[in-house]
Amino acid sequence: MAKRRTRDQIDADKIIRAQLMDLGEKIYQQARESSRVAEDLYYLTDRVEPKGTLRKAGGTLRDSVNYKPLTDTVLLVAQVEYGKWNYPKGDNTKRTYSGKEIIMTPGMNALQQAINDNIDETINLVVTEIIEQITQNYDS
Amino acid sequence: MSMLSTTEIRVIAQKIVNLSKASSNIDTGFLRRSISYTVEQNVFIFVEVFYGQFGADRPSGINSKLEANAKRLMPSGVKWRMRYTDINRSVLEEGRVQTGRNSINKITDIIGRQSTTAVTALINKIKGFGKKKD
Repeated sequence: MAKRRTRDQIDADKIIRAQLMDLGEKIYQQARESSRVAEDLYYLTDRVEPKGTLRKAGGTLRDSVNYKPLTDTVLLVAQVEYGKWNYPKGDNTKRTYSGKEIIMTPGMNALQQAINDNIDETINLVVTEIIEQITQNYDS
Repeated sequence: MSMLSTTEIRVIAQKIVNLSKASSNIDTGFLRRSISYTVEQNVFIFVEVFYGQFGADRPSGINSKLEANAKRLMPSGVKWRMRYTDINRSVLEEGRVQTGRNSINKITDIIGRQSTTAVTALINKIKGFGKKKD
């Protein structure tokens, strides 16, 4: 049986959960924008497939990016498996996201890159807010 | 095949997805975000997380009306099926045979779960935060 949390811990977990949901939304938006989208392939001749066949609709990876809080302090971020090997679209070293240029870390897929770009800010926010809540009842 | 072109059917499929997204039940938003469609070899596949099909006996109603909308709006003669996903590396795929009977086709690994060192570091940092220091 899990150990019962104190009231302070529950309040702190609420802050963490709210911040993790914000983090998830940021990751979700960025990964959707920066992940690769395949172009639809229409066959123009009968050589491989019947003429006019649509082979692949793009957007499966983009639509599969999702996030979910498992507990108050754990956020699960998911995408289809082949997203592991799909690097962000654009140049190999730089890419543009919402108007600003971000330098890409080599060997990271779009979702990992999105997590990396946003996680430090969230850690700082969580720590700041929890410290604020603990110290609000005391005079400095 | 129906008389409609693929482009026209995709407009209808996108409309079904938009309708279902707008009317699905929301707790964390995981279900709403998971609703989408894809086309594989001329078969239209509507994707949602598996629990979208449950909840018919609750006051809030069935979690997602994606399948009902697809049954109502997809033109006859177009092949389509549902795909129910889960985050634990499993995908249930439900097909409709010619007579209308539903059949679960296969279970394949599509959605993977991964975590990074940054995530682990965050969790450890937060876990250690509330502990007493001796």
